[in-house]
Amino acid sequence: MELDQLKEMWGDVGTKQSNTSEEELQVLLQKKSTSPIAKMKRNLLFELIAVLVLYIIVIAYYFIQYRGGMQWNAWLLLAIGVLYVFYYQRKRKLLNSMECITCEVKSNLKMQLNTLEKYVRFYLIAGTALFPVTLMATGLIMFFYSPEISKDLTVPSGKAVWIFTAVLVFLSAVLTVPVYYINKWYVRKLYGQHVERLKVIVNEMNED
Amino acid sequence: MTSISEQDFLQLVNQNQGIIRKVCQLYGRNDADKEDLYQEVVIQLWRSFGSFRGEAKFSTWMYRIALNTAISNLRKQSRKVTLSFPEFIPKEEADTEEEKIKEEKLKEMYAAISRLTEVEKAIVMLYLDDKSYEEMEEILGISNGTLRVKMNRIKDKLRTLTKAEQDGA
Repeated sequence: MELDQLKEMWGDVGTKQSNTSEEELQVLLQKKSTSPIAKMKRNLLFELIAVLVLYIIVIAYYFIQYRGGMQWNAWLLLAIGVLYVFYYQRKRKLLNSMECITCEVKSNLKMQLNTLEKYVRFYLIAGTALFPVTLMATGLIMFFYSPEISKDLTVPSGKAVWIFTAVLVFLSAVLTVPVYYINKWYVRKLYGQHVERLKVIVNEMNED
Repeated sequence: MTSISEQDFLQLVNQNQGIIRKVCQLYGRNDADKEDLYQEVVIQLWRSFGSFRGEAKFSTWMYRIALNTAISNLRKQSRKVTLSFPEFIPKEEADTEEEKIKEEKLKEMYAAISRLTEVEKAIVMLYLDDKSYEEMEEILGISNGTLRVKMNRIKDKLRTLTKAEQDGA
């Protein structure tokens, strides 16, 4: 059978099937989208809420419980929290510009591929960079919280901070390498298959 | 209570439901998948309805959204390709030998279409819907000339695939 012979019968698809009533359609309009981008947006919002709640509790604890030098821990956490908000905004902006559902299929898919690649790069870089920052912050908090750490270092206390910081920097640098590869594997697991699939489709659409 | 624009939307979608059904028929792997896709397309249409300015035909706008939703959604690929025949293939026993042969060939053709790539399926769907190459270009964003070349290749591919079906490959 040739494709043209199918044309006559193709017109019946949809018309012979039971139509969804206006009432049923109205119910559908109240439902949440299950598209991957909508899910990513929802997950990102949950992540933001969880981080904000956790940070506010810990920061408030430090501000209320301590005075003097220990309050620097709260300022440090606040600074990391502000960085996180920028991280969240960047991700949200990328997700918002990821699709143009009303555009021509080819330009929408190209846009989705380019933005998803940017998103994946940002996820990998920011996710990896967050590790040494968190490690340094945790180390410094421990140092100020437990001054006996400095006593273990057989150097005058003024130099102890710098030696401790140098050790932290070294440890952070060494440990960031495996973290980078773990993140890379995880990001590929999350988005790799979809990126590859989009590449194949976009290439096919570009072929003459 | 239904607002005026919601009422307009529901009427327009109701009149053009065939487009969504056809997209779901081609891109859904099973009944549940088709229903999910149908729901997602309706939601995406509603979310974009406010930006519809009437610069393109409503059907063109609808094809774009339905195809964008079907093609770009990240849906897990099942390992087994299940073939589901569309409802337009008569289910009752064919009366004559000629009808039986026609029905069999129709099934082979549909099985062959289900093996095409997602882009090829979109082109075939628009071709079967009698869209001009200009309209196809407006929906897919692929140039008129390229579409003609692709369409010829698809026809050849379908011939090969249906032949393979007949040979039991």
